[in-house]
Amino acid sequence: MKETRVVLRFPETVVEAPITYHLIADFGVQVNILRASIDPGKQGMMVVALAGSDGQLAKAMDYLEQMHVRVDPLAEKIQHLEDRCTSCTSCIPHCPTQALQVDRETWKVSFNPDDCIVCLSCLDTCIYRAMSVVGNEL
Amino acid sequence: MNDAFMFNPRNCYQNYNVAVNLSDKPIYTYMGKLKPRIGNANYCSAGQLSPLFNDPYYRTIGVGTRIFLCGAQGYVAWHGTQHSPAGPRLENGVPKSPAGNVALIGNMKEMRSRWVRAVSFSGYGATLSVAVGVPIPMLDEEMARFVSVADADLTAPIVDYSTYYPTGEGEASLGEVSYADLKSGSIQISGKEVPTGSFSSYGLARQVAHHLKDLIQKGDFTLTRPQSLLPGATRNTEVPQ
Repeated sequence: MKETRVVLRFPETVVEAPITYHLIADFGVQVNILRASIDPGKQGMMVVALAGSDGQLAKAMDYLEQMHVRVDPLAEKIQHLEDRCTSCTSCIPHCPTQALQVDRETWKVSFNPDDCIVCLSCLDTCIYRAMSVVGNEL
Repeated sequence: MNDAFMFNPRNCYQNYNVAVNLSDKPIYTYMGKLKPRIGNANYCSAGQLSPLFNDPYYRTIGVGTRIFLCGAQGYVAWHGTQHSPAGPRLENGVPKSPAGNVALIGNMKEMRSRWVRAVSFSGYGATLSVAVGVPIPMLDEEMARFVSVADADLTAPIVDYSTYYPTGEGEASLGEVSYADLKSGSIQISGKEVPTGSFSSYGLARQVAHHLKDLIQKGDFTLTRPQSLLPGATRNTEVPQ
């Protein structure tokens, strides 16, 4: 089982096709939707974690290409700027995956990028702007 | 520049609200982003390390008290705006809701960026976050008892910032919660477990306390007697003679 995080962009021509359904039902790929949006210009965007065997993932990618869905690796990353962080803990309730945690003995906030799904919730909740995003703009 | 000094008209609030949002939409307040349907609860006091929680009747903290302010040695200049000592108190003397606060002054040229930070509350506005340390002389047994106050002995009211806070309508308080519970990471509100977040850094509050202790022990910081007392509260405890 392999997992890959990608950004899918759906052109106007396929926004009504049940593409996620086909990824799951036809190719046995596990799809975890991390973020999704449809803009007024009728383009769709999803950030997904796809999990499956090498063969399943390869077939899924072929299918996406055939459907004209653009696939980019998720290059966005969240950075924790520790010199700005005061460990106040106001971000903690906003992190859905506990990538941000506080040790309640030392009262130090830590960030584990492996648990981060780049949902961006921490960006505007941090009053010190200690969380920043690097990589491709979505 | 010859002079640059900071004057803060309201610092070190003696207790404050725990902010929640009862509405169906997220709101952006000076207590941070509040998720709908009581999705989070935000508080902003260091609790047992907050100066006015340790001198609840302002016996030693008054006009002229020398303090640590953002790395400089500053002073309590006056009582702060909306200083309101008269509200209800617990038996140990500490107020149950936002009460006293102080106006502080200090030389900005002596300040250090480690101890003063620019902050921006999205959807609300910008301000400064400042490190304040206030030495409390152990004058007698009563002061010893006051400074021994712990988070479990301090409570704050839970206030709805979607309706009650801006309009005064609805329930004034959704309950009271101790700072020990707030610092555990979650509290119970009407049977729901709600995660808590703070805007006061308890880790930095500890560092300020240790730093001020070191300065005093080395003789680099001397204590002052207040030249005038802050407007006070009617006591509900006896003062030992």
